[in-house]
Amino acid sequence: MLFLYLSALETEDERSKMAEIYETLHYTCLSVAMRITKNQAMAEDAVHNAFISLIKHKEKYLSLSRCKLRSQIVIIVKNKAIDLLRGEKNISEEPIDESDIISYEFDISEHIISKEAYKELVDCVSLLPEHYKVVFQLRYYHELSNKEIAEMLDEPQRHISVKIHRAKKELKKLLLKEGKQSG
Amino acid sequence: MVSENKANLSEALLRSAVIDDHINELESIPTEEELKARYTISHHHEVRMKALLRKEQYRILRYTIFNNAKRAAIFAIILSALFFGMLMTNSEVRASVSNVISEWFDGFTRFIFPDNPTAHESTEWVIGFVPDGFVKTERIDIGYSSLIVYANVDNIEVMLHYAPTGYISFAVDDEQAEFERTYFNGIEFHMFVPMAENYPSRIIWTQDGFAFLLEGHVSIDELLRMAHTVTKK
Repeated sequence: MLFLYLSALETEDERSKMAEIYETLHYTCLSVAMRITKNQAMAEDAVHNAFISLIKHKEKYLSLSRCKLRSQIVIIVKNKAIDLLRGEKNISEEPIDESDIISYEFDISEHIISKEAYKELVDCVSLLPEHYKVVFQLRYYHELSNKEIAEMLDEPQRHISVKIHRAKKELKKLLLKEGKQSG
Repeated sequence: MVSENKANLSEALLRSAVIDDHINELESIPTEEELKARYTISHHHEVRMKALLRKEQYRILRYTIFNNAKRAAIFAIILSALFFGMLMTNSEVRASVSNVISEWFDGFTRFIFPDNPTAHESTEWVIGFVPDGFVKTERIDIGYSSLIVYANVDNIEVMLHYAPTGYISFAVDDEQAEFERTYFNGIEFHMFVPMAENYPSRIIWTQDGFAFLLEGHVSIDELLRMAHTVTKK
């Protein structure tokens, strides 16, 4: 009987953590999903899918600090919302061509020579499509490897390398455009 | 080298910009209270989220109970093994537990004995008490098995059959006999008391790694007295 009681205590502790996450971040997740889907039903689906993913890897997420956990949950919700939106609009992602990576060199240092120029860089990052921002945030904010990002987003690892490369290309395009507009 | 420095600088700038942008994004999200006032979650969504959390709770509970039960079972097995081992150091307990495995078939009882490595195959056994008028008439040794025959002038025979426990088993016809058990000096004796006139008395027991069958057309009490006096030569 003792082990039954101990089991109940252990699960109650875990259950309360998951319940706490749900209660403290549910509306945040819904709001983030709404920004992308613009549709409450689809946003609720995205939140539901995000929590399924969260439960699946909960050992990893429950060990994070509150701040990092909130950030990762927001990113997961955004990713699920993007997937649903893509499915709804029947949009497929551009085919992955790994040969792109070999030929491209990412160099923005020449553009960033002042505080204002750095601010423009931050603005350009915010203008990136969400699916590019997600991989950037996981790589640079959460410092995850390509393999970890691939596991989290449920995509092949090689897709992540190509997405990061494309995101950089897109960012440079935005910077050049911004430079011409202000120049 | 210059190109590598530029690439490193670009990467550092990008990292910083992404972090700053993400922090801005997180800070721009209103508080839960403000969002609660703005949105109303559908009943369908509430229900399925509660079901999801409940399902996860039950899954964890089942997994945890299984793991704890496994640990408890292992602990119980180890404890039982230690306790059983301690008990078996006591000779009376050993006698009562018995080294004999009895299989009861229709019409006869089969005795199978576990091997005892401490038994010395060449040990000779003798019966201390022999009823009046009985003398030893024959001894047959076949392999590790021995048979000693006692008879009287009326040709009534009593036979002692013995061997190390790993080398022998006894099958006893019990249709015309009543089975009884008795203990003497820490030894368990299995007695087949005849219910029919021409049926012999039989006693089976194990002693110091040997299995014995003593049978004859004498009373069970006399046979038992003989069995009690069986010793090593």
